Amino acid sequence: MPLDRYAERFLGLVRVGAGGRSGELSLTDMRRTTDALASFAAQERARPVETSDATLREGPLAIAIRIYAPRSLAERVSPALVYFHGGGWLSGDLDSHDGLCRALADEGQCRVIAVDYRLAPEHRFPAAIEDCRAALRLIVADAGRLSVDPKRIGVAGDSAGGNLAAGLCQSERETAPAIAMQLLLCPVLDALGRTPSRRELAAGYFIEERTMARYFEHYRIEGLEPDDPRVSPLRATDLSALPPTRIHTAEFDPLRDEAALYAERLSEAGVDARLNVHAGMIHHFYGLGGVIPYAKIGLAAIGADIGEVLG
Amino acid sequence: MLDRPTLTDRVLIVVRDVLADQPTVETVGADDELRNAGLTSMGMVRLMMATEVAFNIAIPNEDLHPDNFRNARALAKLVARLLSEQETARA
Repeated sequence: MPLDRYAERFLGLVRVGAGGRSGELSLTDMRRTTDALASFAAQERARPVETSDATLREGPLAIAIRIYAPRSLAERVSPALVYFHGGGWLSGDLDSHDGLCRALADEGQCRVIAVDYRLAPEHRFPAAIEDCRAALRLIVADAGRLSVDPKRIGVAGDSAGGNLAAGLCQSERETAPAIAMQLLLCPVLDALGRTPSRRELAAGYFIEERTMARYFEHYRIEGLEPDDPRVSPLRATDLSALPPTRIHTAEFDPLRDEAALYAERLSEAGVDARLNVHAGMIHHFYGLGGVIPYAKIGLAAIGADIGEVLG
Repeated sequence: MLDRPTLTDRVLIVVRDVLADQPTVETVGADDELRNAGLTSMGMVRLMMATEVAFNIAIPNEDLHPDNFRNARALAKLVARLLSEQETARA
């Protein structure tokens, strides 16, 4: 299918917006770019979802979270998705992905708990993973107070957040209760990305390969191999006993092929894994409903997956 | 009598709206480079979309050129041309 015409228009605008830029984006600019994404999901604020901010604490740890609860649930116990935002491990926060989290809570009819994990390069690998792991554990421990069924808690994330969610599922296979689902949206699954889609769509498709390389440079630490499964979940040798997996990616996303490879390898390992490649779409389309009308359809499909696995 | 705001003034209002979170929002002038005023590529996307809405125009792909979005004055020039083309098409 050709590129969706609204997505094409958006890419055209991004190209002009980036035009005339000399040199590389600064860290501040990369962060502001991710923050600005929120304005393209502003329409999701109309969803019937209540939010509340809280802080998870354990010893020296203090992790900010935002809880999204569909109004239809009222006080009823529900499944939940613990959500890790994208932004190349170095940008994004509770606000940048607020609209997307509202949409997921509404479409999936579950609570979504977004985690404000520490960012690189101030906090390099494995700070983000440690925060996500601690947040998940504390949420499970506190499930009753959060009106969440501890046996139906899944993890989810987009882009680099999908990388954190996938890595967490691999490292937490022994914990009980088992993670009930992993929902990966256009995830980064191979830090160095050597797939055909990374090469064919390296420039001009919203997320640039040269930016991907910079993300990883800021995130990595001395001695960490890019093939380490903790940063490249696709490179893990054992993919058995992972939670039911739903992956949504886009035909024109440079990260498309690594998602497909991961879904294939998970299925071979006996995991209930399903892949949805959204035709004509680009990276992060589900968070761009203000410019790409198809986002609404994509979000409904994602919500149906949440309901099917956690419902 | 108050002066009628010029097209450039009206474009500046749209620019300031998009720059709302920037310290430059109060000081940005018609000839200031928007990128130097803190407009990111995403901000530029928002500016292009907001301009279409504010002036009820469609910016054709061939006009999606960085020069047209360099500063408020250049953008006002583009808007003026597109508005007059629209008028001609209607007539």
